[in-house]
Amino acid sequence: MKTDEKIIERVLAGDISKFEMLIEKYQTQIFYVAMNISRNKDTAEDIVQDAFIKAFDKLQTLNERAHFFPWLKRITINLALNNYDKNKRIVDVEVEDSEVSFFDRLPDDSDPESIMINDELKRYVRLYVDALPERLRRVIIMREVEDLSYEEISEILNIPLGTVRSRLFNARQVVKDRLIKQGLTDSLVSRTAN
Amino acid sequence: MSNKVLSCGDFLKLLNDYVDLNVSEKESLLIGEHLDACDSCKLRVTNAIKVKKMIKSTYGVGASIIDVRSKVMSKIRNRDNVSVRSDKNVDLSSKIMSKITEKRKPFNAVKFSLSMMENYKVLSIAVATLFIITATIVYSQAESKKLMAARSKIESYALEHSSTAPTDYRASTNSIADSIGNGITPVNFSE
Repeated sequence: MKTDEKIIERVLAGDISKFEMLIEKYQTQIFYVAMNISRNKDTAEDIVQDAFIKAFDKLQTLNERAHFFPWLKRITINLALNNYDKNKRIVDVEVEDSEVSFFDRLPDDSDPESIMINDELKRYVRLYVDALPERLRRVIIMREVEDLSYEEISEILNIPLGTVRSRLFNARQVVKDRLIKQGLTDSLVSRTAN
Repeated sequence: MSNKVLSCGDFLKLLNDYVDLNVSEKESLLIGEHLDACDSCKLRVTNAIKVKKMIKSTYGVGASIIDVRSKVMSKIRNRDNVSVRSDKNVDLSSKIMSKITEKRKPFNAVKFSLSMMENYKVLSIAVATLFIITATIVYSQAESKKLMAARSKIESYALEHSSTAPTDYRASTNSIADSIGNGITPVNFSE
């Protein structure tokens, strides 16, 4: 990440145009971070813009310049979470231990065997993860997709570490069980489903 | 983990941490021993890792579908406060400019003294007190000089006109001088 450090030094020295290099380098990854939380392309694009502008404004406060990307990613996640909470229309009414009821919300889909296995699997994985209650979905996305540590997730979501663990466990269990139930057992071993 | 051998229940509690590489070395050894002996748990681990990979690949970064460079850069450039760095300059330059403007204003003695008094209240009070004390001393000194002059005048006058009573002329002049000092009109000896 030496290049990032050099670019940041130039930007901080007053060469604002160099910031464009950082945008070009990270916009796609940041877009997917925003997209995975907001689930809306237009919203995600707005979040990406806001995240870069915020990063530019706060660039002086970044002590570890080599860690620009993880820092930018956290800014994006926070913005996406705030945005989601602001525009939240679906209220989670389920209690912590009643994840099973989420299956009722799943739409009927076409026969999975008619589609290529890999794409099919991805489609179903997305379907099942997106059908999770938001509090479980956030944790599993942050952990599996964004590679955040339990501690980081706990800090960002402002929940205890134990809650992060239990939510992650429940989310994984639900997705795995659903994939097996759906018959997508080529990749998973069904006898370990329980 | 005080037990040397893990049960399946114990292992399930550690499954998440294990697949996330969040276990200690000691726990890792215990898990390894358990997995060697338990095919069910070995398959649980395999499944958990597969689900992780599936989610990662499903939500992972795909093709680049946006380009926000121009939008972000134009927003950054068009804002009032162009950047963090220029904010600093703005602050500094405004300070300098305000100082320059202040210097260019016409000098107003009253305003200046008032502002000085405001800024140095204690010092002003001390200076004023010192001034009053000095003035009092100077005034009293001037008064005593005047008194002395009057006394010597009367003395010489008494000397000139007191040939009839030479022995106690000093006492007389002193009492006359004292009378003058006390505001009593002196007696005219020539009468």
